[in-house]
Amino acid sequence: MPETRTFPTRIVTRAGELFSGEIVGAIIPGADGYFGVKANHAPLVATLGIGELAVTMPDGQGYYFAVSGGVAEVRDNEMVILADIGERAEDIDVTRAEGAAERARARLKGESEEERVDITRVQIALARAVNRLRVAKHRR
Amino acid sequence: MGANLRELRRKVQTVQHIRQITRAMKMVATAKLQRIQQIVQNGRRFQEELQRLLAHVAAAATDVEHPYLQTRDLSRAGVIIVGGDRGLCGAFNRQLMESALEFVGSQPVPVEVITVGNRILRYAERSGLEIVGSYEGVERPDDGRIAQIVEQVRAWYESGHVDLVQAIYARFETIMRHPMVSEQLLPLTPEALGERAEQYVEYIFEPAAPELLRELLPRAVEAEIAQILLGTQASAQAARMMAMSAATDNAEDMIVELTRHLNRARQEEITAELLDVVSGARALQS
Repeated sequence: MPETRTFPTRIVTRAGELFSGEIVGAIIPGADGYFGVKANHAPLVATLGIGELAVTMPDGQGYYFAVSGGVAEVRDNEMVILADIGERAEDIDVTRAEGAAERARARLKGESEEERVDITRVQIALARAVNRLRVAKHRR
Repeated sequence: MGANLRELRRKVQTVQHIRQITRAMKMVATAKLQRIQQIVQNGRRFQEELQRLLAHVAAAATDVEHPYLQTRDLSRAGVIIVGGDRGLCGAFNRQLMESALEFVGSQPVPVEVITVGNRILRYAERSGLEIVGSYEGVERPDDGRIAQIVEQVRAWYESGHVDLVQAIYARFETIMRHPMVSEQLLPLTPEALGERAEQYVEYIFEPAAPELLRELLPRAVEAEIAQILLGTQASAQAARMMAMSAATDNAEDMIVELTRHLNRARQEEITAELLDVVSGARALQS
């Protein structure tokens, strides 16, 4: 029998609400790894890493989001996700993400002192770009 | 007589041109306001959710020491004045500046200033304030300047260079209401932390509450600054819209008034000419 118990979920960024609705489950990219949330989950506050956020609707359909940083809260069988950066799979600019990934890779190969300074920043940019490209594959 | 008539005609034309310009500016401001209003509302929702969450975490991590939560002895204060880039919005920028000068004057210690908005920068320079940073206004939530401003404010305070950061800005409430606000940004005040007597929830924290709080505090400051920047921009557009609306109304009143003068002058001229003709004809007859 398919899972049918649902709980209200909102995904919010500073730029606006990405999603709001009743879902049966979500896979969340926590800072220390992915975790799942279903109805009646214990109260939880967790930080987010860079990754793919997937929610499953009552009809079995999935929605996918690329997120980077933020917090998730579950309380009273309700979930709120505050993402620092977040985009729907459909809204991802693939060309831009490809360009960003390419630039980041070129930078990481760079030999000069100057190019190596911001190595962590470049790595984060690369992780974000790769994540966007991965999530964008789910677009319909 | 003829000269007077010409002058009146020119005046009417000038005022008509002014009306055209103010009307166009009002329309531009209205369009800009509509766009930014949505942005500000979205940002406010995010901020409210974040604050609520922060209150929950703070309640579970009461013994955490963090520079953002500690009041230090004051040796230097910082103030970030946020205003508009352009004029023609009534007393908007001047009022902000008055509010800023009032704060600076009330401080017993030296005060340094960061300005946002070209107008504010000019006012601040003229007032002889010590400016350590200046930025243009921000209209979009993904503008890179938001991160730059946040970074400078945080470094300013975290390095101990200033022991308090005050923000002076125009909070956007509605199109008609955008009051000047002077509020403490850092260290965070209990109100900013939302310390309300809420029921305590037994959360699973990931990571542990103290670390989580350290992650959330900078985000709260960032969200607040972003909201201040974007909200003030919305307020500036609303102020401009109202100022230009009033200017258009004034121009209309002036046109009506001038046209009345013009008609009267024209009528007088015609009457005088008629008198000339009639009296001339009569002189010939007699």
